[in-house]
Amino acid sequence: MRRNLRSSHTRGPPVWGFPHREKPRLRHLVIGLTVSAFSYAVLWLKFRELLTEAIRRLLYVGQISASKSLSSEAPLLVIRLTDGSNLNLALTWQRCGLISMTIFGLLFLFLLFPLDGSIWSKIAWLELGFIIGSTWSFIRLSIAVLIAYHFGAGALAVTEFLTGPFTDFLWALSVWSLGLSTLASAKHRRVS
Amino acid sequence: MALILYVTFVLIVAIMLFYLVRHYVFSLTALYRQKGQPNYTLHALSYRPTVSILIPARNEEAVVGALLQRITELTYPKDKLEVIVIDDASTDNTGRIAEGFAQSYNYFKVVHRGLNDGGKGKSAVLNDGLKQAKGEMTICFDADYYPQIDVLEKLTAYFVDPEVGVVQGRVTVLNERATWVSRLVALERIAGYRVDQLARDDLGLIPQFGGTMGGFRRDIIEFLGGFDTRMLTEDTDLTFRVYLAGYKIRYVNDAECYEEAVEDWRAYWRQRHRWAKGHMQCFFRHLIPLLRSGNLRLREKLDGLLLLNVYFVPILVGLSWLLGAIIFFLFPTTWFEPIWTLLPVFVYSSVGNFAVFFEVGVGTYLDKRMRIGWLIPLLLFSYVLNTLICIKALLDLAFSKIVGSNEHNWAKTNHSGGEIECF
Repeated sequence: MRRNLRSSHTRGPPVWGFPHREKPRLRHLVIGLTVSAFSYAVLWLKFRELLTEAIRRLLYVGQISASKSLSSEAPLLVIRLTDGSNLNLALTWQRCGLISMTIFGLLFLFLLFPLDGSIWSKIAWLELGFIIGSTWSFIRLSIAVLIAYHFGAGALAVTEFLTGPFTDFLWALSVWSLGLSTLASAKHRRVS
Repeated sequence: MALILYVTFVLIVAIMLFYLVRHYVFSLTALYRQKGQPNYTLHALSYRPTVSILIPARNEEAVVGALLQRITELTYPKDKLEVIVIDDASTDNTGRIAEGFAQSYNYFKVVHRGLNDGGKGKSAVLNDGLKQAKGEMTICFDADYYPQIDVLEKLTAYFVDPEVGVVQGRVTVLNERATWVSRLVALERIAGYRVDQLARDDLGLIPQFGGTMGGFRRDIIEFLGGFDTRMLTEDTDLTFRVYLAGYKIRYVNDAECYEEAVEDWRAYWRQRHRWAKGHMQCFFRHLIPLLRSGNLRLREKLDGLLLLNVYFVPILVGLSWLLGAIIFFLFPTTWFEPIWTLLPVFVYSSVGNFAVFFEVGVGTYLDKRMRIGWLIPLLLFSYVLNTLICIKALLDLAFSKIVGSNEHNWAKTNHSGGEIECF
């Protein structure tokens, strides 16, 4: 901005400029589609089972009795609460953060991949987003389960409401912003 | 009961989705559309109509001198230029500074408003300035603005087209680094102008007149009866009056001007509250004429409708949160879960009133700005504040309707001039 200002200080005839436009990198988009399709396949097939097992082990470390089970809809985590009752926690797509990760992937794919920049950088940021999303889902679900263990099933609903999809978008947007800034920085370096 | 809640929730989500798609189209247009502006012809490049610059100023001694000095440096032919400073009953040195310039430059003129007339809003001040203006075109600058030296040539070039009634240039925040608030405002400005306004212009929709760093044909504004002093956002009001009269507005991205943005949340609240209230006034005033107008194409009507509704969006998102909570706890269903998940998308789509998050990102990218993009998630704070501001504005407006009052306080934004001093 300051550079713009200085240049506008100079005397002389008006400088008529064109707003900068790009040509969409369709090949990058196709590569991104392929990579994200592969990532989604892995996530949607394996992630819920992995997450269920990881949380079960975490609870085991904390000496909380929990077991895995399968329902027709989703993997179930059966947790013995402090009052002696059982809590059946179905790890649905949403509860596991998979829907949020899908939205993140779509946003990333259609907003970042067509831009100028290294395809490897874009793929790296996309995958980093999936890793952060998966980690956050594990943390969020662990917190929810621990709160449910100590305060009951009602507290689980409140926790899920407060830390649900809304907080998912904090990481999604942060990763997206950082990815975009990286692309802009790389472009700036090339230009200068 | 549950059904009503479900239907309302889904309806709000549908409206948000519509906004989301609209802004996605805007972002793609700003990024990729090659047939955009500028469309300067040889005639446009050499077109030099007489221009009156109007500068409303109320207690602006910290900044007005820099602007007036800058105006003396403009490359536009001085024999076709007239500068009118309207001193709105200032109690500081604003009037004296302007008089100093008027003594040194014969194309400067100062209009002093009396204490009884002062402080009644920008519309009244501009109307007083218009009475003195003699130029074919009138360009407005706020006192805290700092234009490029060739800005008038760039703006007036678009008036070659007789259908163009108003032009609007780009506003960039000068004191971006001052505080977190000014940084967030800068992000909103980048998206609002570099992406939103540009895309609207490219797509033949309704670019908005921003009230400053823009201009209009004097005969049109006189035909329309000047600025309406009852409106808090005379710019939005003029935008729709111009379109309803059959003229159009062009946005000139290349014509830049630098402004001093608000630096704290209190000033942000006051400024946005006025904008929200004024915009809502415009919604109730222009909605029906807009839909019935024979001068606008369908896409212009649709864009105008969405533009008029823009300050209701934070309220709708807040309402959807409330409904979502009720449904989540009291009437949970399996199908609700994915829609509930979509809600944050719409929340983030509404950060800032004119800019969704990816528009902000695209704007920073196109401007080759790097690190400021990291702050995009923080726009959540201004979004939350905007929700409260818009709710209060709506309540205030409803209250003034109920008691039958047309008097609205015009909250002036104070300027320190800190950044401008360095020039």
